[in-house]
Amino acid sequence: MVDLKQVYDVIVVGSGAAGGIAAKELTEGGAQVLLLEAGPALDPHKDFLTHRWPYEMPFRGFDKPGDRQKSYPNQWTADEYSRGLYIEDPEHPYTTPPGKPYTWVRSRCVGGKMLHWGRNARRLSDFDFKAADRDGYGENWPITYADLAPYYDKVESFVGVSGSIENIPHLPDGKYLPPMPLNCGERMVQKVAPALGMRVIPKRAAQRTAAIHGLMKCHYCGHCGRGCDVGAFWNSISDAIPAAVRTGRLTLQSNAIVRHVTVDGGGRPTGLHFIDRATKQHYEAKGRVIVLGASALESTRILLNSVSRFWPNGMANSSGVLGHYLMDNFGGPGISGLLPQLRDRTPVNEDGKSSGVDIVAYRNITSRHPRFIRSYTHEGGSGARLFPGYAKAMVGYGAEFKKSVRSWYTTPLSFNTRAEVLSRFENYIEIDKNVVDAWGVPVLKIHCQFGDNEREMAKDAVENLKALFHALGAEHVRVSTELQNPGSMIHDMGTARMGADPKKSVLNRFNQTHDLKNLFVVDGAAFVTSGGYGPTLTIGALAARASGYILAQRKRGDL
Amino acid sequence: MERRVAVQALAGVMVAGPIAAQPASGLRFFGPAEDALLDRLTELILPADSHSPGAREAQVSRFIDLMVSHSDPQVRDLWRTGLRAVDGEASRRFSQTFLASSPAQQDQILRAMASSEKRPETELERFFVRLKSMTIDGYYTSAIGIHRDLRYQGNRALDEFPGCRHPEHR
Repeated sequence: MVDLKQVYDVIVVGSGAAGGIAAKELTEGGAQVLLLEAGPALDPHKDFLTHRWPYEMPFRGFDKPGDRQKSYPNQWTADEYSRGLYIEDPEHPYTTPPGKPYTWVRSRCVGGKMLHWGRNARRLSDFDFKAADRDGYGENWPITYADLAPYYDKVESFVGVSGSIENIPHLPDGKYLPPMPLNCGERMVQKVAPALGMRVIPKRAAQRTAAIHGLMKCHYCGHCGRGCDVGAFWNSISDAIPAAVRTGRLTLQSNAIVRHVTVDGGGRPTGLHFIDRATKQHYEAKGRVIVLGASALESTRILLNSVSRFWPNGMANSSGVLGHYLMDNFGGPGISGLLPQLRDRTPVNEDGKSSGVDIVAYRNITSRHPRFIRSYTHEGGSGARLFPGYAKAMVGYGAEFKKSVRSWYTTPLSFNTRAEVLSRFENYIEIDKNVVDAWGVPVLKIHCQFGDNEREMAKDAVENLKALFHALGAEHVRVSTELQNPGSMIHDMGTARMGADPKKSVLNRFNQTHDLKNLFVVDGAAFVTSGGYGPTLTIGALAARASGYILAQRKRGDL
Repeated sequence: MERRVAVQALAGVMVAGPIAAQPASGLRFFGPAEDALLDRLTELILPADSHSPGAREAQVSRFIDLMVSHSDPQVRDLWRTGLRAVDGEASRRFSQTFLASSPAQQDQILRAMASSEKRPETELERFFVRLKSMTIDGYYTSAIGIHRDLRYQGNRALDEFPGCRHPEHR
């Protein structure tokens, strides 16, 4: 429980990938840390429906008709099993301009979105950090791969990432636990792909294939998206936060909705103003250093709501770029089909690993594509899934139809596309002065659209996936070409980007605001480019690096 | 249009009224006669065979009743009028209800309903797509569908994940 009289060494906001790693590193380094989380602490054994069968659910996993539209229309990855891990939309509004929808998925609970994330844990490389040098678009990051590599090592070694050593220049290898074996369909893709210029590797998943330092290994039930009851993948409630608790220096305050950063008579941060989720009482906690790790959009929302005569346009916003350069990794373009070679097999547990394969980025690596810059990847997998969704696309009925559904049960294969979305000034967030959430906190108005570069990438990606499925002899192929709304990949990045130039960026190379030395942002908000895949591992590495910097500065007496 | 109105009027006589009258049945929306028709239709779509029981034993009609009972009034109407249209078609073709028709006659009607699945146009064709989709949902999320028909092997704890065991793909 927070002590409102105490001045904490550091207050960390948010308990997911960023806040969890920061809390661990800072407490292990000797700091007294207060960790503020907007939502409740959930009990995995009570609140996670990890192993529930559809027929044990009130609505078979489809949820009560109408409930999604009413309670969680934007939480599109949530379902009847997992919706308790997500927010309810009506009490957490946000606005968008007409014709520019943005899908904002949020989890407010200890652990945040890590309780149900996709576990993709690939490193970025200098292809990303120095991308502007290659094609002239946008800005470089103020760090190199060499700066971050030791922190990737550190995070991977702590959380456990399964993967294979591949020696790919633009996809650096990490410290891996053994990779998960491939299913038959995945092996077939791996054999066919090289002829099309594609390379297939086992997914690099922050999901343990071996137990390490007291953390459980995966038991292959296949239901990571419902929350893992034994914490076998990286999620801060089973790894980083318990480690921080063990130091005796962590105070975790759940249900604390941070509204803004408080300042002293000189405009310098002194702590955080927060609201009790249940009672709606307002409080102020005091800290010497403030570390925001509440997700890109929530951390920047706090800064934009931290207005005073010193900071009329949002705290640490002397550059005017706070809120700008919002990014996601797009989703939507993808393909699914059935492999006739795998028909009529005895089903084995194939969806239990819940992680398939990656097709490594292959565009604009060694050559230059005429219609777009940057690159994309594909994630996919094969094997019998619990529900035979393909049955709805098969015509017919009766005994023959039923037999056919069974016959194809072991054959599904699917791939999606994840891409680098360009960093653009005109994709930005601001405070909507007319709308507040259920706790009276002004909400975000989100302006975000994809451009021609993304659309050209999507077209190219779909054509390549079609060629791959053709080469495999897949049948019942279904292609999806539409881009989902920005935000849908739940990889919100940018809005408080790092940079060498304080006029063009909010944060320096250590995630410290250029304007205020005791204010840091350690989540996806710091990203300069979006890479072609999930940002979480890089968020963890940046949070670890920033925490090391904070500890060193404290030792020197500078913080 | 005129024919459809007439068919509905006729079917209305044969199909039982709203649920409130049959609390003991456990039905939430459909009446017993509607449920019996739905039960037969779902079994025709996913029948029992030598491999596994069908939609009837999996009580798919009760799943549909549950889902429809919580749906919008417009959706509920589509189900009710769809069932009436099936009986109306039986009445038009064979001068009896669908359930009173012979298996061959029932199949004749279902075949007509299923004749344009990819581009359904008539009321019956559209109802078939709705019915089949919900039958798939109900059957393959039932214990019978998952364990006895598909013989799904996941959602259980493994010590190691096996991966592909077929020699030709290794």
